[in-house]
Amino acid sequence: MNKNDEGLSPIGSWKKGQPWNPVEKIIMERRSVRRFKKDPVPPDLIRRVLEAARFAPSTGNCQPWKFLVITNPDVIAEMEKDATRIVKLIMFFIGYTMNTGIVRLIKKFIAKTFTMRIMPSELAAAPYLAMAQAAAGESVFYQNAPVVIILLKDKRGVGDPSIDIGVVGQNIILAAHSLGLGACWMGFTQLLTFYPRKWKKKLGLSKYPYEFGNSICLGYPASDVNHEVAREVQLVEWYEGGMNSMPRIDRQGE
Amino acid sequence: MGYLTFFEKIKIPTYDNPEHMNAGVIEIDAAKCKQCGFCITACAGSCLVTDLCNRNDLMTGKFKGKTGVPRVKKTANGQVLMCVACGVCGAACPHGAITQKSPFMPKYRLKKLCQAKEMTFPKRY
Repeated sequence: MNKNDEGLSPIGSWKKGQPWNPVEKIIMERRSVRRFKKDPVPPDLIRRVLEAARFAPSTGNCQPWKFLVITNPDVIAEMEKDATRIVKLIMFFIGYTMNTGIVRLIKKFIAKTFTMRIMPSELAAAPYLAMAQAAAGESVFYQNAPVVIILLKDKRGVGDPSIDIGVVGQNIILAAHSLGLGACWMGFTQLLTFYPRKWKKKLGLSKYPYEFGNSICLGYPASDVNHEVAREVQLVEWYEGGMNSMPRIDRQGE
Repeated sequence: MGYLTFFEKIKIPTYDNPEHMNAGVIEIDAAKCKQCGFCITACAGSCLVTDLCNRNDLMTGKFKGKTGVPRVKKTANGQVLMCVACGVCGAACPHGAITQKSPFMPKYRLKKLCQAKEMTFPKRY
């Protein structure tokens, strides 16, 4: 990302076709950083990032969150080890893309008959294949990041507290990128809630009123990945006519 | 935890069947590739591999030096690419060697995730 702000529009005004303003630039060019430098992040910089989280909007201003900041490399390495252990156990039963022949058929039966019906979203294609790669020892979960921020969700939150966790996480990530850090969502921390006692006790991952929400890896990026990418065109319905007219389908992005 | 309707339950997509998946397609220009390994470490699903190393080797520092030209890994039955076309490898490549050819278009209950096939860069309206 460019360190200077030349060629950027001022905040608070718009004319057609103008260049990005600094906020849009961070949003458009933000990519998940999955390779971090080993340098520790100064605590005050983490506090600055968390200040953006404190002022995130939430339903009914209920602020249904609690932040855990983990900066000790030993703890992160232990989390990595245990998450890998759990994912290996899960994929031993349902990881059918890793095998061929009769083993694949048995695992596929277990996966499609039981687990994917109970946890369809958790075992959708993208996380499933990523877990298969981790179980095969070709991936790491926490990317050797110097900081992991865990977002705990208050179950008593107004409406759907999961949405507020998403909003607060987006604030954290955009603030981190604008301050020269890199960040990456790491929902696989949920695997630690399947580990008997250890992490639930240490981190309070499911201690009332809190439960695990999501987590974010943070650190100085080791390589520059922040560039624009191509995304699918969205079909947006515009209701411009009266009550009897059909919406106009607008191809957003073309 | 989610809830599946009856028809979704009998039509859960098989992740290594090419008819159900339509994985993302990327093209890696071997002439432009300088084999730095940035794309391999940036890949969210760790599905970029070379003949010499995989992502874990690079992240843990087991492997150093030129990685070789990467390719997208396939599932064990060799029929489906593991790419979901997030585009991070193309953004991470300092030499512009990676271009996306097609988005990730799974079928059945995951189909609603994608509305149009075309992919465009952010447009300054």
